Amino acid sequence: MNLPRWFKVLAIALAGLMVVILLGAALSAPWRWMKPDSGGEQPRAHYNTKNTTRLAGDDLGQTAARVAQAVYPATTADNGPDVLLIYDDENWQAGLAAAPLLRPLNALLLPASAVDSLPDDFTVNGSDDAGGAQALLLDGASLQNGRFTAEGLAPADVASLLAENDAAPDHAILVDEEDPETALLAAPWAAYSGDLVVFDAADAPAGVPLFALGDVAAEGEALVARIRGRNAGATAVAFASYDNDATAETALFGWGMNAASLTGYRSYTIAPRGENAIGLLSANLARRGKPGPLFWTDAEELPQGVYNYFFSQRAAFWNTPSEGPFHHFYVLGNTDAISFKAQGQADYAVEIGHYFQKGFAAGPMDMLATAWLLLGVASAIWIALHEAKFLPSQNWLMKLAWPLLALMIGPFGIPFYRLAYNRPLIKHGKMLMWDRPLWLQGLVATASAVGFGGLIMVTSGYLVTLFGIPLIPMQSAAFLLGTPMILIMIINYVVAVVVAWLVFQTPMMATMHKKPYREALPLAFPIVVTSMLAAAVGMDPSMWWFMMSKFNMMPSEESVLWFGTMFFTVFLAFLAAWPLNYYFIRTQRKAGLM
Amino acid sequence: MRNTLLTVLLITLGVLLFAWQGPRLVEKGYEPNEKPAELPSLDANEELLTVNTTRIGSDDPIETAVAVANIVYPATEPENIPHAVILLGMDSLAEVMVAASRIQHFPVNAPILYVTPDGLPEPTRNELLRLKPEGVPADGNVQVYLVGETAAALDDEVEALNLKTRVFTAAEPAELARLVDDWTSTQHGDHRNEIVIANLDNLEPAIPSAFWNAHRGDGLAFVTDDGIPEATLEMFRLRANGPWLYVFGDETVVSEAIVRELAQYGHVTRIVGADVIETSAFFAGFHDIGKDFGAWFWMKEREMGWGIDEAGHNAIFINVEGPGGWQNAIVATTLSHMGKHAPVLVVNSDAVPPPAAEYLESTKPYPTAPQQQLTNHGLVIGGEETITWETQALLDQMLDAYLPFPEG
Repeated sequence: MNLPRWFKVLAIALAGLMVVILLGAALSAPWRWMKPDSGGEQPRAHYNTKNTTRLAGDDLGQTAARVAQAVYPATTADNGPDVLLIYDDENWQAGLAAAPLLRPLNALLLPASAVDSLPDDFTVNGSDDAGGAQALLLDGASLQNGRFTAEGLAPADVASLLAENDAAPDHAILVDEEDPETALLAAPWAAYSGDLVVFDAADAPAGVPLFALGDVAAEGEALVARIRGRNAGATAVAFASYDNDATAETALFGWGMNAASLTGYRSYTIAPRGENAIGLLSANLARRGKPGPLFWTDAEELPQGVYNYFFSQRAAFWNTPSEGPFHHFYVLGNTDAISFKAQGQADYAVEIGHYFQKGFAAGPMDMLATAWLLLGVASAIWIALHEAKFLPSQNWLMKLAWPLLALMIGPFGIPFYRLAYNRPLIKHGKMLMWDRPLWLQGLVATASAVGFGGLIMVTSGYLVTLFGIPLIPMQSAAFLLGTPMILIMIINYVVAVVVAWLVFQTPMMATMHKKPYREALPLAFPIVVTSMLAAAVGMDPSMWWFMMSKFNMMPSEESVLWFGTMFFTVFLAFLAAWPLNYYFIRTQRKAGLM
Repeated sequence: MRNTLLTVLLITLGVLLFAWQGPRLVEKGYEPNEKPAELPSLDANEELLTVNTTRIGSDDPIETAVAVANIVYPATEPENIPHAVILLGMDSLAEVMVAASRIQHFPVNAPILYVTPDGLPEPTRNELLRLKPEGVPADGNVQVYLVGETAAALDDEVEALNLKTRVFTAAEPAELARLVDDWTSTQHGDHRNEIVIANLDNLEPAIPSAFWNAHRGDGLAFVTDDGIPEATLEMFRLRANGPWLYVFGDETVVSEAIVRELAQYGHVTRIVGADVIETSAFFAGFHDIGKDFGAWFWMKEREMGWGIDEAGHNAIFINVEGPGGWQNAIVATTLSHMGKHAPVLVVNSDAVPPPAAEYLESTKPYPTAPQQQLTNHGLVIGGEETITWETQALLDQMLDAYLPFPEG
């Protein structure tokens, strides 16, 4: 039989188009993830999200007031502070050194300029530790007006005040007084743990284990450990992840929020880089509620290393998302200081997801799906080149079918191909054929049926999903027929039968029986109907099982998992269709020597 | 060989081109044809914050609905955009409960916004445009569900924004519940056997079920003081393996006679409480598991209720008696569906009633080491007239791991 040349071109072009659609769509998934977020400039009624609380202010004072009220609503004597710890705005060192006092003194740490911004009804109880006064002025700080009674507190007296309150520190942290970006990372930890912050190793009390943060010089002093990264951001990550191996001698030190403790709840504060006083407010947030480490960010987006760390701490649930863990961020400053986009990154990074599928983050199933896909692509290219170079006399339909099949069946394409063609040759007139036992002829017939049929079904499935799968609500036991998953299976089947019959299977039959195309049409039809049915029997139940029950959430066509699942079910379709094709070979309805 | 190489190259180019623009072009076809204007700025949502609580919304239900949608769907990434939006009138609690319980959950994934007989209120319209719902793939890419007559009347107005809609209306609430049940059961290819039973003549005690259903997507059917409507019986009959019925309220809410009648159709469990304050606290800790159906090679379990009675979880605080009424409270169901996945507790404007306080005491966290610290978070719904700042501060303390539980 002689098919016109345009027919061959049409068939190849159609197959190529389907490959382009499927691989392009699969590739668009990671492409989409890498695209920067948009929508940060949209109107909003407020700037909180499910995993973030923005304590916003247009300036330091307003931000400080929001933090103050969040920690101390001061609606009763119970939930207000006893004393304010006031430091001079330029003297962050004095504020940082006083952070361990926050818990023992039930205190609020503020820069002097922020005090006037506190709400008018914000009450401060007064503290015996301040001689009854409402404020302790750190290292010579001063208050402009007389709203709160005040006493002075020298930096050297912090340790003795801690001791008086039965809060002698377990550790000391050495930081660099010239490097606020690193040093202030110690603030929430000092407030949470009561550990002393020192700027000179010699100031650490004798016998108290000393840890250093960043590159600070520690001449001759015995450090238990130095926690540092290659820059301040990396040091913040290192400190958030750090925990010592606590022994009887050294109590627990460090947040320990790392891969070994992923079931724990995480709280993080993010502050605009360079705003030391805003960053130092994080100490107050570690007083109670959700204590957690401080990270600096740029206005536009989170530093990549920090973002990666947040993602590594992503919450995953096992049975149901209400089980937790739940992570939370405090975002300090308005959207000029930290954009909503950066906040959205933080929110998304820790959003709880099933441990199997982690949304943007690739879970184990996404990894498997990606590996299956990549193996398929590599096998398809290899087979296409191998055929072109070594099997010039192969029938063009088979030449097309093998790479298409290999594309979808991951690691199995090349082994099947080798089984099929590592065989003795037979000359059949001008044509070359391969001497195969019946079961291998069945394999080759299946390869052509599923190579084309599977590709058509998956492409049809993708396009239908992309434009929305129909749903026909029904009462009575017939309701299943209106179910989108069933309808898409029916659509895929019908499309696969029609296209495979007209474009791929009829030419195959025409070649085999040496008949014109028109006469081969009725011969091919029952074969296509039954072999597609066998493929669907392999494909559809497993598709239902994966998408409707195995996966916590049905993957959408925007996910690599969708493609991985569909291609894997094509492999199952192959296995299901093989016995039927063996039968077709035995009864000489199909050819398996090409 | 050259032809093959050329084909591979062509296909690679095509793949890159399609990856770049293919799906994007289709998505564009579903984008609304207008840009959102400003939303009402809810200053209280930025001011009334504590370390353990977030304030969401105002005393106006239309604004609260927008604030909830804001918090759950930042709409900055493909993954935090909802598939659809549910539009509802504000006159029927039964209607809103059906929508919140049966439509909101996956695969639909949609917040609730309110409309009025006059049309789309400005905040609703702008929020709808901001959210740009991308369409529900398992329902023909429907972007907006219009539930009830008030919303259904706006079908043309919504479609004019280039948004694809689906409308649910019925003469009676029980029929609406059945209609939506048919639709969602068809979508899932399964009828949920766990069914919430709510009394149309005393509906508020069943409000907490809508929060659970937004999270889980179980069934909802109505009874009345007079008996079981035919539509509800039809829903029972469609359960091939018999329903498991969860009746919200004690004998004063749903009479013993009705429960006896319900027991003719399936296993009945009561969520005990005389009012919504009591049922909410009871149900937050409630968990029922056991047989659903099957034997030998396939055993399916039934499961109903949050069963949260320990630290490390969250709570949504509502007050159905506030100036915004139940309308201002039930839009918060979306917060059970996404994010903090929390049960609801009903409080008074100026007090935490004993059932909620006792429940919160049982879930109060306690200090551990920082890497394994459990924390709780509260979402306070409405403005200061709905729940005062003082009540919020009290709740904050009840949720805190480090402060003593407040006395009294």
